[in-house]
Amino acid sequence: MLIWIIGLLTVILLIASGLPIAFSMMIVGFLGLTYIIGLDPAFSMVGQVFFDNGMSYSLSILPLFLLMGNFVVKAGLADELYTASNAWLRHKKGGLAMATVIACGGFSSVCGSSLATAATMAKIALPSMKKYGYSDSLSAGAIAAGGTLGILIPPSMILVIYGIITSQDIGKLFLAGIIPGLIGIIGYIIAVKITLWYEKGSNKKLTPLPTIKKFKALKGVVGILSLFILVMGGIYLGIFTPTEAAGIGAFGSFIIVIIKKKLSLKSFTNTLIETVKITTMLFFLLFGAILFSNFINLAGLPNDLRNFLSIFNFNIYTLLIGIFIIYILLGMVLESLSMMLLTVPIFYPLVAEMGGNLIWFGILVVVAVEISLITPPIGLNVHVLKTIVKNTMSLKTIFKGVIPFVFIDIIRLLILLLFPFLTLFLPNTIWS
Amino acid sequence: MLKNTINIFNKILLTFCVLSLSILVVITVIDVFGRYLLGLPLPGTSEMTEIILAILVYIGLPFICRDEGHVTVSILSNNLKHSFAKIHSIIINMILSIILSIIGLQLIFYGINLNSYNDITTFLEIPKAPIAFILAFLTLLASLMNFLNCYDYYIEKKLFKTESAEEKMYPSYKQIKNTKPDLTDVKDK
Repeated sequence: MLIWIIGLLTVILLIASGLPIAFSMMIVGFLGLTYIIGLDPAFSMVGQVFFDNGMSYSLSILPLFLLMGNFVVKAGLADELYTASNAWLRHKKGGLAMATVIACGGFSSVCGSSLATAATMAKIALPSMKKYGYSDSLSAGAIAAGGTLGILIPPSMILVIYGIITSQDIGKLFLAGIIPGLIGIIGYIIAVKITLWYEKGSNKKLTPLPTIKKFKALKGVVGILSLFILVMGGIYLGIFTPTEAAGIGAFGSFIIVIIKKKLSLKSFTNTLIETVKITTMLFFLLFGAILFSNFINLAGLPNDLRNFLSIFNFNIYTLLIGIFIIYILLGMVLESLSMMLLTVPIFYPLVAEMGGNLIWFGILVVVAVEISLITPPIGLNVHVLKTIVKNTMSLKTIFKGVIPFVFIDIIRLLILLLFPFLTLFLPNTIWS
Repeated sequence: MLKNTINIFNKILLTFCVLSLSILVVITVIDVFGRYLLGLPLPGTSEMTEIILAILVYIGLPFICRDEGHVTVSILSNNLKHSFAKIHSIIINMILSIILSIIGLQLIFYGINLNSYNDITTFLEIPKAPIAFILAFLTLLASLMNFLNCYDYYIEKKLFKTESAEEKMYPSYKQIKNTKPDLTDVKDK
């Protein structure tokens, strides 16, 4: 028992000392394995982890979806999504904030980064909300919270990584993310309404656009929407494996950027190089996590935790709530992916043993991680927004704006916890 | 002279980056289209994908190491005084360099092992050992890059970056962050 406690503490210490997270996990994983199984076997495990996992067919989904996201960002989707959702919602009370939430959801799902979404949307949506008299806290809340939607709505890198660590079907995980993602969007729209009610503020109402203009505004998003339907539909109907869908998605988004004339040779090569670099970074994090989880499993952590939990008579729900609290605390210092890589290997065997469905658990984990992105004191999305608005808004205002969204998110987490079928309904309809 | 060689080498690696990812997309697309439209799947796609993926993953490593692009929590390093920050960066880079050289060596041993029993891929019968050697070479190159970083910090050629983990993770985000929203001139969408 002592050995894994020392291991965990050392990892935290190394990470805090500024050593890259991937390498902190590698060092501790390797030293721990050496202690348990001896130097030679540990060395040969290193060769194996770094070679076999590099050559993994199912992992090729990562660079392909990353590439798709990067091309979509290049295609200027954010502007068009906002224009489209704006055209349909602008005349409603709080319409611009609702449009922002929807555009955030759409954009972040393909772009894959909640921070890039918050940053991009701030640029696009903030000025018009300001013009029409929306309060600072509402605009900021909608953008900071809206940015978190994408890590759940497929295709999501975080779900791919989760699927790989826990050996779950990635296609099923993607499908499982759809309904909770939509609940998230609806929830945030309710949060906008709550804010309006609570602030009793008035914003200028806009006149509705003529129907023909509304449909015209949709034109810009048709390409991306059909790409999304092709990719997810293909997975759902079993036409492609998730990896193939990722390849098709990357190719499709490439065609869209070409049609929109947004790609020069230079930006093409830059996009590819950028994608390769991020892929490398993700893989090394994953290698570190694999070595580390090999170590803690051999050191008997799952067994010890199980015994510990049985003393206190924990059931699956109390266990999950405990895990959520840990995530929200960790989210204060760690970036979302590293946080997952560090903790999921520890928690998932327990959840599986207590009879929890691992696809359901994956979605719950991602929602919990989303919440940690906007909770004080270090909610990363909030700080991103702050660096963009500079001195025009205080950090306090942004955090104040985020409160209703966090509140709604916690309710969403509880709903998903209590009603697993909301998550499991879609994935269960395909492969059965 | 040395600078030129490094530049050429840099360009070759970048070209391989672009090529490997493009090929990865193209073979997936050809395979899917071939299978559904022509009834002719591309033979050995999954093996080719695996090999290209491995190379793609390791080819980015020297670049990431040179740019210090691994995900890091920078609470400590952002609050260090100059002289300490210098020592801190040198130590971190040195540790990374050592770890990567160990990994590189293990990959070489792994390759020698694969070679000794002539391990080949099942369908295309491509020998696996050379792949391990390529990965080992790229890892050792990355280790060298970390070592060069140490030197650059030592002679203070390299300045300390205070990038957040997120900025490293999503380079385009930095670009977005640096363009301020224009709050004065608002266009009605």
